[in-house]
Amino acid sequence: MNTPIHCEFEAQALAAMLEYRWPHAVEPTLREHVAGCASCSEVVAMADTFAAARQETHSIATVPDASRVWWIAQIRARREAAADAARPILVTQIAAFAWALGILVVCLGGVLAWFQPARVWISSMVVAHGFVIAMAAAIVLLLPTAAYFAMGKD
Amino acid sequence: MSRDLTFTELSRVDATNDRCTEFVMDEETFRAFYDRTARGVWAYLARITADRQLADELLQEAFYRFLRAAKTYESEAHRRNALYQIATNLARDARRRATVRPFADIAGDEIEHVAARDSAAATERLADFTRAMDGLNPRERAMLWLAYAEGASHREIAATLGLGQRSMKTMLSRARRKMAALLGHAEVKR
Repeated sequence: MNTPIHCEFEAQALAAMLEYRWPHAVEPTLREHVAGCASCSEVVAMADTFAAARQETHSIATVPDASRVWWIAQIRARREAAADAARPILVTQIAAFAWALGILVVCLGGVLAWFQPARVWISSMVVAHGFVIAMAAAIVLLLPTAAYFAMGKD
Repeated sequence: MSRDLTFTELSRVDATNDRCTEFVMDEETFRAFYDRTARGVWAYLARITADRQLADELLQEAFYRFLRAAKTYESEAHRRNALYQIATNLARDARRRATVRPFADIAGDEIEHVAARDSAAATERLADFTRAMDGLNPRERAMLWLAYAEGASHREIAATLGLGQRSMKTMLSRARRKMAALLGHAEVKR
């Protein structure tokens, strides 16, 4: 059978099937057309097959109760809200720990003798390349912050 | 990372709870909408994934994401289309991850076994249908199901599947012909 790709009556035939008007509650002209049109025949046969499959599939569907789905959604939304709320606090805690560690290192550096050459070298580097170091530090600090805010958006 | 929240965090959570967990829909509206659509969405998911268990999982996820989307819709049809769009994306993601089960291996039998309680003829017809659907790719399955089982328009199908509306008619015709060939039927109910 050489079925044409489209026929202008396909939509009417499909609508008649979906609205349960086929075959008795449609115009006789449409019925006659479908009988002689391979494309429309195919549409009607397809709609009939899918309607039966839909009915069968609906009959075996085991969907949970609406209240249960609603309740689970509420709990999950609360959990996600809690996780979102906890995230900035965690970041702040990590930053505070890093600062504390840095201050500890500086304090120890002032006291310990073996750290003195390193302190001198760091001082000279800061004087010589202060701007570059400041920029690098800014990038190191800003990149994670930017990434955090970018990923934090839903 | 999972840990108990501190009191400070809890107070902050409480403050944000009302805002964060407030769905656009109230419970009563949701229940009515769910009762009208859940079976249809499940059937759609079961047919396009060919995996009943996956359909169960994706159904709940689809409704959750729908609630969290915080969008208002002009009409019931828009709301329904949005839900099917979410379901389609979830099925697509699941297929990409393929974490649950391979699709092809369990494709046909899964749904048929459950339907075995019905008459032999109906079961056989459903088995034929399922086998034919297995011969299509997931997009073709989705297109045909939306068009012929759900009665969606070309525009709605294109929006749901993220495809161009102009080519929808041709794509649908091709999928239909492929399905007809797989079913091996051309008879018309007169």
